[in-house]
Amino acid sequence: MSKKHAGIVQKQFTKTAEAFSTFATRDTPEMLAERVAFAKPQPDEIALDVACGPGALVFAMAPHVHFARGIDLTHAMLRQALAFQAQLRITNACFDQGECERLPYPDAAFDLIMCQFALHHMPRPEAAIEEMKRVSKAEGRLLIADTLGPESDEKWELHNRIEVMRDPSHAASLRLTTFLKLFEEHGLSVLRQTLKPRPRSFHRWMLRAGVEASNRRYQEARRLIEEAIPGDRAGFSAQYDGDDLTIVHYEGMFLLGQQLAPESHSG
Amino acid sequence: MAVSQELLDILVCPLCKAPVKLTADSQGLKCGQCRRVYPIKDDIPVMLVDEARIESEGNPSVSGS
Repeated sequence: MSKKHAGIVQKQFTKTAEAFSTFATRDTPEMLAERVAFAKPQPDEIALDVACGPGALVFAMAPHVHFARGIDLTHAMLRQALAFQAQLRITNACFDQGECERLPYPDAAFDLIMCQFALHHMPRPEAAIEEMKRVSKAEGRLLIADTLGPESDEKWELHNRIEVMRDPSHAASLRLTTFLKLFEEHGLSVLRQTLKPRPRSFHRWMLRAGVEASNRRYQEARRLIEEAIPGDRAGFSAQYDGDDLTIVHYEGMFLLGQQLAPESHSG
Repeated sequence: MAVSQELLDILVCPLCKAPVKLTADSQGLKCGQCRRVYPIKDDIPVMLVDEARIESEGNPSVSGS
């Protein structure tokens, strides 16, 4: 990640650290439990959450593994994570500040590596995936969850334009086909996969990014989404809901394992 | 709450991937290879290359061995 984009990400998530941690949390406990179950954690495993934010998935995972670690680029998020950890009295978890493309861990250090709703912030997601693979044990698993961009080029461009308008640290929502190609190129096989629509309030979605209704970016994003309703040209499946809009993100969740190259069987 | 040695043991320098050691004042983690010292802020190891300082050779700031 370039220094400039890292600065944008840190600025955005420092601004929204409190919102992320309190009123506008992304996931309900049920959603986190679903994600934990999807990864099939084992009691003797060491897990890592890359771009962990305020630590919700680390804390959901910790009771199911030997140790859970989280890493994030933004210090304010990690301070929130430590405050939550003290409240929850979770002792088998810790946090580091670092970059996803330069993880401060040795090769093959983790059994389970998770990265949820973060790859769309990364201009070079392929570098992050390669780095996650590096720190994963050969028999380890990667859990990747993210919003999916529309497959159509026109929809994809408008969709991501609106996303960047809301959150300048957004790089691009990758298409399902792009994710699958990335996994294949990096020698990762899909062990399990789910795709789900996630309807949400436009208003709350904007607030979670720290963009109030009085903000020009809020109004412009809403205008673009409304104008694109006929033919769903922005790929948000937007519908009016009173004064608000309901928009839909399609979320993909993938459990990945490392493919063994044919020559690796020779030993 | 200080960061425990056990939790630091797994950390390596994000640049050269060499092990890091707690500095004598417990305020940083020093890479034995490139001599970068990564600060520990609010009990959080800050493993960012841009936030590290490079210590001059022979500076005996690392605790133990």
